[in-house]
Amino acid sequence: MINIYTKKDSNISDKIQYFNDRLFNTEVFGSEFTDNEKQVIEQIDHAKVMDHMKIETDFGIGSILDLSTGCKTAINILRFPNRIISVDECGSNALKVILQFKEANIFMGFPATLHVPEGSELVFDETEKVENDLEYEAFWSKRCRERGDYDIV
Amino acid sequence: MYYIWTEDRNEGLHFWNLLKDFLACDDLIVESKESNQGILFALSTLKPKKEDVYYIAFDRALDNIDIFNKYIKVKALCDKFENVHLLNIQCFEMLLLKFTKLIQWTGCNRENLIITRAEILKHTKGNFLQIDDVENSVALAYFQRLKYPTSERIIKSLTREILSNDEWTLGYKNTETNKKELGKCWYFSCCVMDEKRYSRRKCCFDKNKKGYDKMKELFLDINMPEMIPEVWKNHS
Amino acid sequence: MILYKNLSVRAGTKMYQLEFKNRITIVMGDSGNGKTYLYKFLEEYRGTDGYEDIVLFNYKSDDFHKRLQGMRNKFIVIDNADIMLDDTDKQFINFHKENQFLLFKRDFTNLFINPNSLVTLKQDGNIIRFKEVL
Repeated sequence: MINIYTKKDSNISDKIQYFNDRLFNTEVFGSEFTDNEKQVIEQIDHAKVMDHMKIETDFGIGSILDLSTGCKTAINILRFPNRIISVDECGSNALKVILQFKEANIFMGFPATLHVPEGSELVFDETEKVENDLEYEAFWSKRCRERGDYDIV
Repeated sequence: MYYIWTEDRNEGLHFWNLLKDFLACDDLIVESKESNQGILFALSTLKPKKEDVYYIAFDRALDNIDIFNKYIKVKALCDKFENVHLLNIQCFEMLLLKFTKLIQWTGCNRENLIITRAEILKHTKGNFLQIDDVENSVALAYFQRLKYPTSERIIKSLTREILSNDEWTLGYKNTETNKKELGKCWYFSCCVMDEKRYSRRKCCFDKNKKGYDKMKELFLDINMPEMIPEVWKNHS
Repeated sequence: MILYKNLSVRAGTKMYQLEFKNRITIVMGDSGNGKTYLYKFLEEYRGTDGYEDIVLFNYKSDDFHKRLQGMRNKFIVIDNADIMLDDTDKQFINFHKENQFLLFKRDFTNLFINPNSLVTLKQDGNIIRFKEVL
């Protein structure tokens, strides 16, 4: 189940992890990747993990640090399941992979452009279940109205 | 049958219904889907008959990510069918704002609004405001009055202010239907105001201007025949 | 003001050939399509001949908000813009038209964008260009 938080309530605001580049670079970089993580890296960045320090991409051989922010975010979610990881810097390709994880706790500050993968179980703000694109868009319509995004003045 | 689907519930819906009345078109159905989400939902389940034509009036505020996401999905759904057309408009208020005789008809004399409108129209391509191209200081000062200036907010706010004369107002409350509508000056024959107010009117009309003629001038001026060609051709 | 209508940036075997049609350009799109690589190589070009007015900010930048407010007549590149920019920054971006902006961002709400401001990066062999989203 993917728990998606969209409100910075007092009980969770301190737990939200922004700056995923920094988290990955300081706490993940240098460690070995599991097969699952290597697969995630391949899916999102089309990068082949050569060892725990190097990747091979279309741009050539590079450092693990050159992975995209979206890819680093996905790895952070796998590595730190108890944290609420912000996905605001993830492209729709990274989100597609993340939303197919068995479990995750993520923060979404705005309606990300995405298609809800079939079979996903998304729960927004611990109350609203979303299973398809229409329900996803309907949730954000409601949420944006609550936030005043549609107010004229 | 012809269908116009709008996300508007109040003045926007009234605008499209006025069009229907003007065309005296029994095979045109105007429906409010109540919201952009409502339009998205309706399109996702639509199985249009070959002989029907659908026009979708979806507000496109491209500086709002939620509306942008929905627009992408709405466009993809419209593109699936040859007889479902997404109207090329930012919002219905933009159509009123673009009306060449807007200032003349409403008698708006507030210089900052007139200048801001002129600047917006100068930087509008098709029916879409290129908001970042506006550099005039009066217009920018107007934009800065809004807490979160976006193209949609600017257009709607400006249109409302320009129309707040006589009975041109947006948001005129119809006590029978309890809905907000376009002001009566748009479609009633002149003059809708009592004598006392008539003598203080700001518009350019005397008492002889017919409501039908006003509607005709408006719809032709804002290129309605190009927007809904099938309906217009068969009914005008 | 559009300070740079075109930018060419060599990045190893790749070449970014970028054309700017608006004062504010927002680069969106998939993760891993070359945004941060572009930022990285712009950091190398910054301050060199023809690239004197380029200023770059990302999550590592100190005093970002304060420094941004002091920018005039600059081509400002902001990576991680979704988590960097607050409402005051957006107002600055919108109303300080003497600056040009290249933002790596996905939520463009409340920014003055024209329809062709939204781009992704598209690779054609070894050349990478902007492709308009709409």
